[in-house]
Amino acid sequence: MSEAITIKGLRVAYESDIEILRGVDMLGGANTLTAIIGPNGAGKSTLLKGVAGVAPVTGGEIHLGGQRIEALNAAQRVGAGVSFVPQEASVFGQMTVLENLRLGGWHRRKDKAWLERRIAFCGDLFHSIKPHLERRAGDLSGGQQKLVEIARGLVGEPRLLLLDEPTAGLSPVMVREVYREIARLKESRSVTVLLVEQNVREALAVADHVYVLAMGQNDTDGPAAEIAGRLDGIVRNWMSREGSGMAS
Amino acid sequence: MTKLTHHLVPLLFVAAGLGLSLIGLRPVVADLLILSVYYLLLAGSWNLLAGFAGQYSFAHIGLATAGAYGTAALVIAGGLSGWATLVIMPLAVALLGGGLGLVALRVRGVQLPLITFAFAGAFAVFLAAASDITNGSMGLQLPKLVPGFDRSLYLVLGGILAGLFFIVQNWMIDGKLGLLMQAIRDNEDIAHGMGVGIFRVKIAAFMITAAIAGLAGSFYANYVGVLAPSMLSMGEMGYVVAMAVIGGLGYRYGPLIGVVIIRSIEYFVRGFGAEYTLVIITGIALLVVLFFREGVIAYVSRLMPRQTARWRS
Ligand SMILES: Nc1ncnc2c1ncn2[C@@H]1O[C@H](COP(=O)(O)OP(=O)(O)OP(=O)(O)O)[C@@H](O)[C@H]1O
Ligand SMILES: [Mg+2]
Repeated sequence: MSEAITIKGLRVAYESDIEILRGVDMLGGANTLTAIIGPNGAGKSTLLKGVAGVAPVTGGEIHLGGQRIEALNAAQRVGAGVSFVPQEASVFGQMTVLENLRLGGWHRRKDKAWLERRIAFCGDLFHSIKPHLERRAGDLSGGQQKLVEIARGLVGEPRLLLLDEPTAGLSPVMVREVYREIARLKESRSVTVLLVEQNVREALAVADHVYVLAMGQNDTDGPAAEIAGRLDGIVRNWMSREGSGMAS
Repeated sequence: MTKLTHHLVPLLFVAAGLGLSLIGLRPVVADLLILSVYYLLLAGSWNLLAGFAGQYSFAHIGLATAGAYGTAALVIAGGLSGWATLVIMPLAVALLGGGLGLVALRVRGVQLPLITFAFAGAFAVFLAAASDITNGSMGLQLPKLVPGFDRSLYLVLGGILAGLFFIVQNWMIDGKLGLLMQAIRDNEDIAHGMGVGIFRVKIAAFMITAAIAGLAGSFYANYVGVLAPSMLSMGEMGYVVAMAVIGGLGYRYGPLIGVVIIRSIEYFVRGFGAEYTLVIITGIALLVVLFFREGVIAYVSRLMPRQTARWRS
């Protein structure tokens, strides 16, 4: 069961006097895919980390369905159904794909039958990793490894999946491969997704709704088609602020 | 290799120990095999700690030495039988290992190798300096498990201990603990984020592998019967590391292969003198690192057909 995510006035500061997020509002409907775009340093990763509980939230509210989660620690948020796939590579490289998947459901291991079912289900999810379940995850291609991370993030049956630049550093062929699978995931309408992405075209193609962040605040938002229509203006706006994209 | 084969390996070692004790080996060969068990226990448990849990501790030989000196203390000062020390010392050394584990929890990256290296060095200096207890470089003498120079008993015991090691290793690698140890090795932060209890897993890995090192030390003391501080040289630690690395670090049977290779070389070059042995083994270790990155076992298993290729975990 997936839930809507509501973020109200979220503030994050890594150091006490420097706020990176300065009041961000966001709404991601249940089982929809919401893309977050914006210039480098806008605070996109920080937003996902704040929601995942791995960056210090100094103000605002995060609602997952009916539950307030901003005061929970990272482990408690995993328990509440939040799954975070960070920007940097995070597979357990020397372990098999299946072992990676098993760890993705580790917080609910007591429910053995359920865990086995979820591992089987998520192993079956992406065409390009399905044939490689017994192989060492570190031996797969970069795109396949990213898919392993996403599949692993889904094993725990999360209500909210946070994807931070899943195609960073991948070749165009692999970017397409990963996005083909993300599109299929979205079509299954089984989980709410917040997706941060630099490849704006790919993100717009797969998203339901798009938020633009700049300098730690909301810039603009709208349905993907609408944002696509005025993308040139939005990007021109970033350019004019380039170098001052960071909050200060 | 299937799970069944993994479970047959311990039986194989017990049977081999019994068989060899019956056919009456030449003393030099028996000595070689019996002390190889000591190295197998050390390289094998170090492989579990470093290769599977990613904890590069260089205090392992120090733990074995503590097990050996503890054995001597219990036998000489405490009047216990050597058999009892084979049970007591693993437990005592496990506690030492737990202490190391607490250290490992607080450090990152290269700090653990450095700190454990320093620990082992300090312990070696202590053993040499505290000559009123350890008899310094003159060494300590303790009696055999049974009177006389009967090596066949030690062949049987060695087979049993090697078998025991593989039972513990199977239980670890194929169980929950092995999965979690490897997750911590590959990416501690992500494992933590998934709810893996880092504290419990690390402490368990340190304690179990320390217990095996303590057992090795106690076995050594009960067999060799003379203890000197040189047991704890960094050369010995390098030897154990070389066995694991040459065989294949992070592979179930890597250390076994490494022990067989290095001990065989030692046997055949022993005529040249100890200093050459070390040079030759260092040379081989370098070649392995250069040409078979992951050790001999990884290379061999890649040459074999697909299903048998998964020797590791
Ligand atoms: N752990 C941290 N401690 C202090 N400052 C940080 C930390 N992580 C990020 N920042 C700062 O926060 C700001 C926003 O970083 P963030 O990673 O959220 O940007 P982003 O929008 O994801 O950028 P990119 O597109 O480059 O990934 C940057 O100025 C960055 O330097
Ligand atoms: Mg980022």
